Amino acid sequence: MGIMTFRNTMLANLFKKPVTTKYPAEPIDYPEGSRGHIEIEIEKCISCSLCAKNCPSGAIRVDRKEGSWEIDRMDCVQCAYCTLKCPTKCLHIVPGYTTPDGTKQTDRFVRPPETMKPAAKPAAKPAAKPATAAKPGAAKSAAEKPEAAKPAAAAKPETAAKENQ
Amino acid sequence: MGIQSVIPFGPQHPVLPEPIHLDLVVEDEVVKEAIPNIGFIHRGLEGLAEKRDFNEMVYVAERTCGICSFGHGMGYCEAVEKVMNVEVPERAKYLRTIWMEFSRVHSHLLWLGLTADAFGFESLFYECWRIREHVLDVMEATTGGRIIFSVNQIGGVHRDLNEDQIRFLKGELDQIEKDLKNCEKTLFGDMTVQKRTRGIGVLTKEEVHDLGAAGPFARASGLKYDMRMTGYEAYGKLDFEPIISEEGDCYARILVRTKEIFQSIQLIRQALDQLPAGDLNVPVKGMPKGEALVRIEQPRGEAIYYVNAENSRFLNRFRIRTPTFANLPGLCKMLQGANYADVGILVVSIDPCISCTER
Amino acid sequence: MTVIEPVQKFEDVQKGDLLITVMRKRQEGLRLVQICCAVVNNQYEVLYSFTDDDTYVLTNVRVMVGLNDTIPSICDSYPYANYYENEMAEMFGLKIEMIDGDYHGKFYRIDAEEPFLNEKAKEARALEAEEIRKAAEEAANMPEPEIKVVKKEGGVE
Repeated sequence: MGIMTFRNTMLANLFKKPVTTKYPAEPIDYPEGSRGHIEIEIEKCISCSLCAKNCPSGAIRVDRKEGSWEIDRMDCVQCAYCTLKCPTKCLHIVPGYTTPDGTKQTDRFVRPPETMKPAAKPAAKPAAKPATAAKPGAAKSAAEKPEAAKPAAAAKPETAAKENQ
Repeated sequence: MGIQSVIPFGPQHPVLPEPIHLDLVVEDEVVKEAIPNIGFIHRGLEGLAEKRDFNEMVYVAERTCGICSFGHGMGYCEAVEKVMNVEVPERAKYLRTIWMEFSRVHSHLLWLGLTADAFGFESLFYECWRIREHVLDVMEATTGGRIIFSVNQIGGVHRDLNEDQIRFLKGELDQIEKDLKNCEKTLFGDMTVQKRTRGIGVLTKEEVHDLGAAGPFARASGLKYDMRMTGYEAYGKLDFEPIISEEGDCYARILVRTKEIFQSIQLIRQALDQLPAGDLNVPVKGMPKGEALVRIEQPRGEAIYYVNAENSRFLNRFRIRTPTFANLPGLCKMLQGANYADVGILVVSIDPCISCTER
Repeated sequence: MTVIEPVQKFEDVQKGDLLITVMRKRQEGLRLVQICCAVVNNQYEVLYSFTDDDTYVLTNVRVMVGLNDTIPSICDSYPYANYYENEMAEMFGLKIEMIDGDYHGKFYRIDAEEPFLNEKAKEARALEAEEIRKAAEEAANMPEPEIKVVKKEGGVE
């Protein structure tokens, strides 16, 4: 049975520099492959919402019509299951943790309009109709023809048509 | 005849890593009886099995506990793989074994620190947790997370170890072994440690068997029972014997767990030498149907995973029986007749992981 | 290191034979490992698992219990089974008699009652309780069998 057997380590520790780092004043060097937060390449997204359906904590919300992809940063548990499920591999998990904050943050990304297929047509058709003095009813039915009835896109040209008339 | 008073222990207490409540009936500084109450960290994770797809449930099962997280993920995957008759490739089995043994090293180092803190030896507590940082660095480099690994999936694993990572791993293992040998002299030889732990909380082999205890808690009393001997995953090809001690007091539990860390380091080295090339996972099709019961050796003892599925995406029942739940009766028996000053060390010596107990 | 193959056995017993089976397992020196409850086909399926410490053989005993029935406690053979039984009683609403150290629903300090019993099972249990009550009422209201009292005409014919 020894007495003060820890004295060598203790004395050595007294003269070594501290093991703790002064985070967040000194930035941290995360190893490659560390699971920090999710980033999306929004141009490749096809709004299939497989990531939203499979998220265990329900942090992702996908709106097909608007082409938006939202993630609640504080709900995400960094499990990276969405990156496995994405068919176009546009989701990546990169180092760098979400910083603590007082309120929950949601990040929203919207697909650029060129990549959304039904978006081009309804914008063109109701804009052409007012020239032929269309009734609001006709403008609406023209907008409803392309399957994704875009009320936002149809409403704007409609109000523009009303103003024009 | 002294006066009996009831003293509440917990849910907040400096020795407890997680909240549990014990009502101690104390008479003149001697504890007569201990009545446990749990439920402070109950999240109903087993009920979530009916609402989450069985593939997503891996991530939920892993987050049952922070210290034993890899074991829960692996046990759940093994149970569902048994129901669906999926054969995991060899490389995935070895990788799972390596990560499981790292998890064991991490858990025992954490426990050593908490025990040192329980009898007031703070410098040893800091030293053990500093050694633990090496393990967490390895985990972050290889799996991406320090505590929650998220590498298991049904059918295998989805991350691999490349040459650089293996070299880093081996370097860190050597460092951990060297640092721990430095602390070993204090853990086993120092007079303060001996005075606080020898002869405290003695349980004989028959008592431990009658109380249904599991893990290093039972092995410290002489019960030779280690689920790794059944050879699940890659354990069948590694060479080791379970470590037991005959004395059954708190000192024996420190001895068993420290020796298990050294044994785990040897097992990781063996597994890295034998690591075969191959696939990481097999694709899994269809829905699970049937039931299966799987037992693995978590750092705290024997854990049981029971899965009952009825041909749908959602499991009917998923149950984890964790080792701390089995060690609770042992704790209550040890506390009878103990000195009030020793309650902290006795509670920590069963290695309580209450998040696992309550799920 | 010699690898021991883990063998698992499943046995189905009736509620009435449960105590005898458990006592036999106790005499063989097996250790109780877990008691698990699940709701299958609107019935409680209770699974008792016992293991042998030398051969690692796991023996599982399965009992099917109706949603409104009670099962006896096995605390006589295994005193520490009360934690498992308290948990089952609180989480699933399974009625167990004579637990040694019954917490009466206070083992888990949570607000919810029977959280693991889903809505479908609760309705089925309520329906069964109704049926049992109706059957008991009908049995009580059944008319008494007529006993013909033959009066002897007093003397005069």
